[in-house]
Amino acid sequence: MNPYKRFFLLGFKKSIEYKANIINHISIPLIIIVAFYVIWEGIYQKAGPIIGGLTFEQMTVYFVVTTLMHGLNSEYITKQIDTLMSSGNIVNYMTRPINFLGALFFRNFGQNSVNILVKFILVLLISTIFVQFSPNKMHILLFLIYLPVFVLFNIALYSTIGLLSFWITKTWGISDLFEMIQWVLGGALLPLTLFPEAFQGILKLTPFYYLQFTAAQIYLSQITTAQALVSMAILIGWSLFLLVIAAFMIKKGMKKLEIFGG
Amino acid sequence: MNNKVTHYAKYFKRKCILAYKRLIEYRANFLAALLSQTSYTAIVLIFGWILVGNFGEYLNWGFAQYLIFYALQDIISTSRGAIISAVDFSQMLKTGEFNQILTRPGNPLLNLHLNVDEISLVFLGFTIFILLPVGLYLYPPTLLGATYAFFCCFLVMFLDIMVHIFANSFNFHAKDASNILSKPVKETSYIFRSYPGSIAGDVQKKIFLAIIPIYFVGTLIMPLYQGAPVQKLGLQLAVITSLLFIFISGTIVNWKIGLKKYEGYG
Repeated sequence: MNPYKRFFLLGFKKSIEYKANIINHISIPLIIIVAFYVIWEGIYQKAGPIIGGLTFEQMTVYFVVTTLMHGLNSEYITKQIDTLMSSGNIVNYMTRPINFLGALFFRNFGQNSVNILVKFILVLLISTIFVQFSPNKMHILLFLIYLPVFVLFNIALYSTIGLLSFWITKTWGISDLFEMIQWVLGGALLPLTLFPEAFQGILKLTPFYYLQFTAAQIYLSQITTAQALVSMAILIGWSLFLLVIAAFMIKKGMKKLEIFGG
Repeated sequence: MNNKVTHYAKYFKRKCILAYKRLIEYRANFLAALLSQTSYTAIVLIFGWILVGNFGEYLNWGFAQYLIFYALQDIISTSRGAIISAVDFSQMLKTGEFNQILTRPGNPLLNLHLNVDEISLVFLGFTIFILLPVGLYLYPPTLLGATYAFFCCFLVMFLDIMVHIFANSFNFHAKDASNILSKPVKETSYIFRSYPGSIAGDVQKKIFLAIIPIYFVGTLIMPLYQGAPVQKLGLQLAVITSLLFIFISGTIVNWKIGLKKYEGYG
């Protein structure tokens, strides 16, 4: 069997191995959605029926999408790489005829595959049954395609951050920073339509604009199919760019890596 | 009693010194942590600026109030992070590493949790020495307001730490239990670290949010700091003290049972 296919299956098996992980993947976003609901219920009571171009129902769906998608973040990859470096286990990858980045990518994509499907079903169920929102079929399909692209970007981003452990021993501070950036500038904490227009213009030049915010816009049918496809292409472009940087970092890092023990 | 307090004060001081030494040993770590915290703060303050710009009138807040709010909640969250994040109790039980804690003199519960994570120490220093003074300068409190706010800040910080210690104590009964129990609180805290709890409206109706201690920074500590009326002050204090009682007694019971059934190999 192709080694990368095996890494994919390994990740897939890992994702369904522990019940605790499955419970956490479902329960935590639901609790966060309740928190958002409570907060925005209070805001809508004071501020009126439409905020940032969204009604309360649309805003609820917005946070259902962004929060469930936030659960697809792969910040654990930085810890994974950190541990590989500090324990010296990275040597296992160096002695095998495989590409470290490829192994990392396929394993984590496998680990997220079930999660993508679960999150997609949860978005559909919560938005249609609880909020009674009827999404457009074409936009549901686009949203479903957008989810793996989002995961691809996240794996590329957090792998790049994790690879900094060639030079520093603790990368979780930087990983936390990028998680916060995704909360705020990715639109998971507040719709980007509430940001000043000039600021939105700047954000469009970064990959963050095309994360949770754009995905929610697609699901809410607030952007056209063409705009959705362009956003997808931009996000894929950013992911490839990050993967090239990651490959460069591995090349540089391996040269200075020293492992003792046995 | 006095001896025990002195012992743990010395123990904690030693941990702080060790954390500081680890920090200066790896300069790159220190610089990376400082850079991350500065950028992290900038991002949250951008959020605060947009939030206050859109909804400040409903909160009766300007940006200076948001800055104080952010600094106070950050001190609480980072202090908890500095102490709790430093240990992976579930892993220690699994590998038998917990034996090392048991063989040390003193109370194992305190020996385990009195830890200091060096990166959190940088974060805490940044907030206490840079962010908070700026906030205090822009929006100075009254002496009475500052005293009440300080007292409640300490109470909420203690509650926040206890939530996680209580969750940790369940690791004796099930593997990774703390992960299931404390992660929802930790993740939801992100929301109330950015949105002041008071924005959600009626405190009495939304008192179930008290399970996320950071909620009280917006509903209790900030109004006290501002010298503004506090919604349902008695209720909020009663909920905090009741939760503290539940978490402390629950932790003690779990540890007593857990220590009896613990078997360490290795």
